[in-house]
Amino acid sequence: MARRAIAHIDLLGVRKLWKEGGAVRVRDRLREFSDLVIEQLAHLPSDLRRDGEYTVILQGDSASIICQDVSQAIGISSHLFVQAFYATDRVSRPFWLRGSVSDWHNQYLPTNSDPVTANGIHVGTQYTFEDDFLRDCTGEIRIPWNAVDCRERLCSASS
Amino acid sequence: MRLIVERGFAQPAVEGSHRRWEDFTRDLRCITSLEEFEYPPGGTYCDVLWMVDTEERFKHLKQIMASRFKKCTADPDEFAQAGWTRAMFDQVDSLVWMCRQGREWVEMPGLSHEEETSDHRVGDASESGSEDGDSDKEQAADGNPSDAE
Repeated sequence: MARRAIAHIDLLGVRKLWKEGGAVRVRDRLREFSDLVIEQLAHLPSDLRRDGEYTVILQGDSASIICQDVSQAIGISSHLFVQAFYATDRVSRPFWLRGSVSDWHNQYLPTNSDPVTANGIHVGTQYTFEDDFLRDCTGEIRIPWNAVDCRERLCSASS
Repeated sequence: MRLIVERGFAQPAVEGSHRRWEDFTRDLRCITSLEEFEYPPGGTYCDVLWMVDTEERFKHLKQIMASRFKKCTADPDEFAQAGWTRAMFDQVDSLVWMCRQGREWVEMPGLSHEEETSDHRVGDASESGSEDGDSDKEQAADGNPSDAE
């Protein structure tokens, strides 16, 4: 089924949390956020769930939900906003979110991503690793072998 | 916590988004522009009133909002977010009052609704006596979510 709308939802306050508590607090916060999104997707009303006809991309402090149409995108976003309020007492600090809904035509995702093309047509998006996420306890950046392999294959395919 | 959508793109969802609570004399539009709120430049946008699905839900969420607002006073950044969200709840309160009174509001062009007849704009209800009062509105409206991150 075609996807014609996308909802972007940002979790606010993560940058400040990074300054205050470093990677540990950020990691815990992002886990709370992703847990909320994943948990609530299992509780969508059937008119929004539509037998799984949507795609969710969790990217750190943001979630992108690619939907069949604008009604589904608005409905799922509203559901997540409401549930973020209801979760106030269950998380370390309240969730403050911001969101937008726009049309979707296989365009780039807004953050840290590169296009995936096939036969000259933009068909997808690849998440781009950030150095901070790849730095181990010694401070060295370690690129996962499969990421390198994936990027090389994509570059050779698109050239 | 604002959910923004471009007006023309939202049009297919507009009709199904109307709500009529028990004591309303006209529908509440859940996709609407809010006069006192800023929108991204270069387009026409509106807000999704994500908190108004039912009257019971709105009342419950308002209580949670009040609790969250009080708890975040120690953190200026979080207080700005809470203030902006609180202003949105106040704005919705004004819209609810207008729906109970049967009063219309006029939005910017681009989003078609069945009835747009009077010159009352979103936010004017406070001047006519919103039931919850509006003493906090100007103070709460200072925050802008676009500046937060």
